Amino acid sequence: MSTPRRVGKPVTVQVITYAPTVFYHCQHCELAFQEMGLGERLRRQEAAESLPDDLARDFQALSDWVHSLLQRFGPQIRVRVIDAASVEGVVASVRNRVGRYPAVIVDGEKRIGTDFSALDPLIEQRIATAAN
Amino acid sequence: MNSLWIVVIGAVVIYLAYTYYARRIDRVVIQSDASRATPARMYMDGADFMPTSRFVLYGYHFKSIAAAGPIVGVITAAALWGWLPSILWLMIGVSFIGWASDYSAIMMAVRNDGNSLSAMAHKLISPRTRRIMFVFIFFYLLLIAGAFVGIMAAILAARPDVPFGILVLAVMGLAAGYAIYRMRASIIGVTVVTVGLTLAAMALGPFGATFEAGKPPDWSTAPIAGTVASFNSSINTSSLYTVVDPTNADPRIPAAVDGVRPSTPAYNADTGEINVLPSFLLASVALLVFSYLGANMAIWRFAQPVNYIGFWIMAIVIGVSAIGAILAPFTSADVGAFKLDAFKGFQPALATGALQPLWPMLFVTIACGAVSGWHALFGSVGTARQLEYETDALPVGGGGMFSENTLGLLSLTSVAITTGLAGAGAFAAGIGNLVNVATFGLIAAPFGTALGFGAFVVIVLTVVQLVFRVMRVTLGEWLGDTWVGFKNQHIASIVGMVVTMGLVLSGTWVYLWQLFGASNQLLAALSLLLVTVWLRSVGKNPAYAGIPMVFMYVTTLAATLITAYNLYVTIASAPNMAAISVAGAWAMIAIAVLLFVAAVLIAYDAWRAWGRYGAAPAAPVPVAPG
Repeated sequence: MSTPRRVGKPVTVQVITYAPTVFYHCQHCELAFQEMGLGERLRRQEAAESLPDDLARDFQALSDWVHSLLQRFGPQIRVRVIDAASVEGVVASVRNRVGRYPAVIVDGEKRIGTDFSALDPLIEQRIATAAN
Repeated sequence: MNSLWIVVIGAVVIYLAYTYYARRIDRVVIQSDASRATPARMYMDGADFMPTSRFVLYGYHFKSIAAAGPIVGVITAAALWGWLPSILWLMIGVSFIGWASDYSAIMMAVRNDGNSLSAMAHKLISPRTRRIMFVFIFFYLLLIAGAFVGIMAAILAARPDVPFGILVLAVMGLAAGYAIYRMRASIIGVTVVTVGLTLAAMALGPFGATFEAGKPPDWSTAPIAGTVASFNSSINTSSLYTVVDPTNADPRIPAAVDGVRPSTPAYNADTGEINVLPSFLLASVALLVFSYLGANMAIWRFAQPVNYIGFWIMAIVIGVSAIGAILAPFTSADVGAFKLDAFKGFQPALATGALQPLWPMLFVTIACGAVSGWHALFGSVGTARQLEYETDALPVGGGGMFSENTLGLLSLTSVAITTGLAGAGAFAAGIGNLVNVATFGLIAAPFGTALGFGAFVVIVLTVVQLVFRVMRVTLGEWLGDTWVGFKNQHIASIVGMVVTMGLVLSGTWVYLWQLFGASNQLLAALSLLLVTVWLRSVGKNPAYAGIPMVFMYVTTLAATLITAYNLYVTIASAPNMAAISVAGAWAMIAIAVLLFVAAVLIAYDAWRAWGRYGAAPAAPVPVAPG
């Protein structure tokens, strides 16, 4: 009988940031326009207007970084992006004592700012620790 | 009867219906199978099709289906027929029809590659059915915008303690947008300040007013409400025209004192007519300006922060009220005791000559909370594409419907513990009493009532501003090639608002609501009809969907005709009616007839499909293990 190979617990990366808002909550209207073939157009327009230009650029940089993390580390990493302006964002901000965004919390250690690549060594170190 | 009993009855009925009926249908008829691949797993594209945890999906589904519907419908019905028929329909409707409609639509979509209801109608019944369903969807938007703006304008015009809170909400929305996205201020601080100030502004509206039992509030001594009341008096020099509300649910109709309603500037007790005053017109325009900002400013500047603040307000007020409903029988027995009549008769006596027979009108007045066709529509295009396992369909779809039912029960409790009031006024007064109990008297009932009114308007307003945002995009899409002006977002917004304003000024929001309810319930019948035909096509017993479908179909067709009759008798053919009321009534009669004809055509096509599948049923689906 073989013993399953031990897999390290994935490193948790939680990002609290200003995220684009797309309204899904008015589902009656949402549905009507989806059925009429307008859903995608509405979605794109809402997303385009949902953040000021500078924050939209920051979010794009964050998005690229998250994608690169997932490509590099796959199942070894678990990433959660939380909109700061949401109930979950408020709870996460209180819990982590964060008042400025984007805030990245790597297994409990928090960093503030948009220089995401500076976090790579920390993440690599945590992944190496988890694998051992 | 008291509020605690509602909690007990609701909990017991929901438990029994879910455990012993819904689960049995899921196991024996549908035979949900966790090992069968769902569309979310088969076609995962990261957008529409995405396997999602049932806990997350349940929250998403519930948030999508629960809005102002379970509040407005229940408070209107309780005023017309009493609390007993309302609770019976809420409990029976959700137990035998509501969950079945939502759950089955999801399962039908899951078993058919995540196709929407209209696509299923096209496949199972006929191509014409899909086109007809577009008609329902289009008129739904128009009806809901008109009904919601109408009831909000009536509240703002009738209650001088409410507008200040809404004004502060608009200011706080702008401030929160700037603070969060421009100043990048702490979200905790922004939330505490903006939500706190908005709540305080809503609660402080009546500060300084004099409240005496059996008398309307005296606003003259209140710095905020008094200023609004004084301004309203200065512009309300004469009535623009009169309208009637056969249900007495309009917020401009004052509470009865010893069974008699007093005359006010907005209400003539002798004739039962409501005077449309300049303050009502002003409130309607103000709401449209608010919606215009929501529809045209960048989302981060206004719509998003307003919705964000609105969510907190709604959650706090509803949560505190729910605690009050549980505590009231123990701490303030009188507050928790039901004062509304249990049963007001099968045909309430209405001076206007309108027909409001319990059957069929109760069953379309209370739509969301008991049965709603729109849930089924949403379930088929949204939830069905995200279900990770078939066995999640019942807790998500059925569970979401049962949860929405509890919001309807809370609304019923709020109106049943008040006296002399109807509609939104009764709801707000009930919330006021429950908030008073929950805070152990810290927040006096009149301030809680102002919070109730404010929360109600916020719930509705956050929806309406987005309806107009969607309306302007639609107009640009549909008519932009005909006239380039429609592609201009400001022109398109104003055109959509003018059409809605026409319906609002016709003074018939209750009829708008009932017509909306009828179209909504007709969609529930259509979704059940589709499920019935689908079950027959795959050789399964369709009785659990077919019997409710027949009831809902006959009921909603009858209700549509009665609403058209009411519009004709009480407005279109009545003497001395304002031209705008008559025009609005005829427009709605036309919509009612259109809905009726469309529904009959679909039933005819479905009957032919039924015969087709009866002659050559498809092979039955293999039975799942276990």
